Amino acid sequence: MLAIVALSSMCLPLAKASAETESITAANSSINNAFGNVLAAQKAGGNVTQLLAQMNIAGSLLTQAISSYNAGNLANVTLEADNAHSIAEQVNSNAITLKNESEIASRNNLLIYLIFSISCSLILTAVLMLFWRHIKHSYVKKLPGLRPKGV
Amino acid sequence: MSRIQLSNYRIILITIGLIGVLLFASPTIVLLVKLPPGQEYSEIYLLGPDHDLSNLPFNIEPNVSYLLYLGVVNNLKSAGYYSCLTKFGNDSTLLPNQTLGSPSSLPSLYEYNVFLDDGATWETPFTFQIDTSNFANNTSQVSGININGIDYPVTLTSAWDSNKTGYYYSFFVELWLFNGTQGVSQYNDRFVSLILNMTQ
Repeated sequence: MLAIVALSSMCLPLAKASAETESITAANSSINNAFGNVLAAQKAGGNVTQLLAQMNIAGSLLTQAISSYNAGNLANVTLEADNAHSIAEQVNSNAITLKNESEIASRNNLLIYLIFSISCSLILTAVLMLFWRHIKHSYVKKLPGLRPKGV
Repeated sequence: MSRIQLSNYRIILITIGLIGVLLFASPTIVLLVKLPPGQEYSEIYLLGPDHDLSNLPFNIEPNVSYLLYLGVVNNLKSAGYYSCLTKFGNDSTLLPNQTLGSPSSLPSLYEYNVFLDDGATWETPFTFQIDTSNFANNTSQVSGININGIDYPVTLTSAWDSNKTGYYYSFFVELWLFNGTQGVSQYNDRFVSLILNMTQ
């Protein structure tokens, strides 16, 4: 019985440390994942300032968790890592939404600019062609009145 | 209106047409053509208690708290996820290898995780304090360091350096950057360090 108690008391800190490690790993993984999607949202043209502010809160919690863990102080490690994990999950979801919205907005913008460029170019070409026809017409009308020099 | 004047008109109209088409197409070209972003890099710096390079700690005593400012600047042309790993070693500890671009093998103590937008700067004050130090047989032994109020049990010894007359330790901060393509944090080949002389 004494041996079991001694063994369990020896194993308990290890099991606890393992739980802390798992929490930190999960938080780290979700933060990495969330940041990957924040980058994708920014690349798609989204404004990620708000998301980065939230990521910094998660990063700060992860800082506390890892720094305490490295010092062997396991008291609040799981709580801080889990909080960082849940914030990162929320940011991840918002980042995916922002990325999708930004991609649609970028596509629409491109379409609008493309229509603008093509239609304006066509209108300009048509106006210039009309102007050219007008000049040419005036020139042809004046041709019969012109005589070669020296005749 | 002469024949030469008419051909001049044609050239002028074609030129106006081409310039106009180019102008009208420019908003679309800007969206489609991505110009090279320029040099992408990050910065890390360490400042003394007066927010400059003066009064950086060198001769340190046990149980005295030293204030420093740590900063990171993002010039990556996109958001960056940085980790600053603080490490403490003695005079024989290998610092990060700048030729190979590899970090120090020492375990990290306090660790910052920061997210910065392009062009943004992050700066934080931080304190460190050597908890206890023993001197015997021309050797100094440190048994703990406190960073930002957290005690880290480290056992390090430093032999008396007769050339530089002191017991030397090194405190440094490595900059790590998250690689979005590979999905992992990697050492960014940048660190800031302090050489510390332990005094009694």
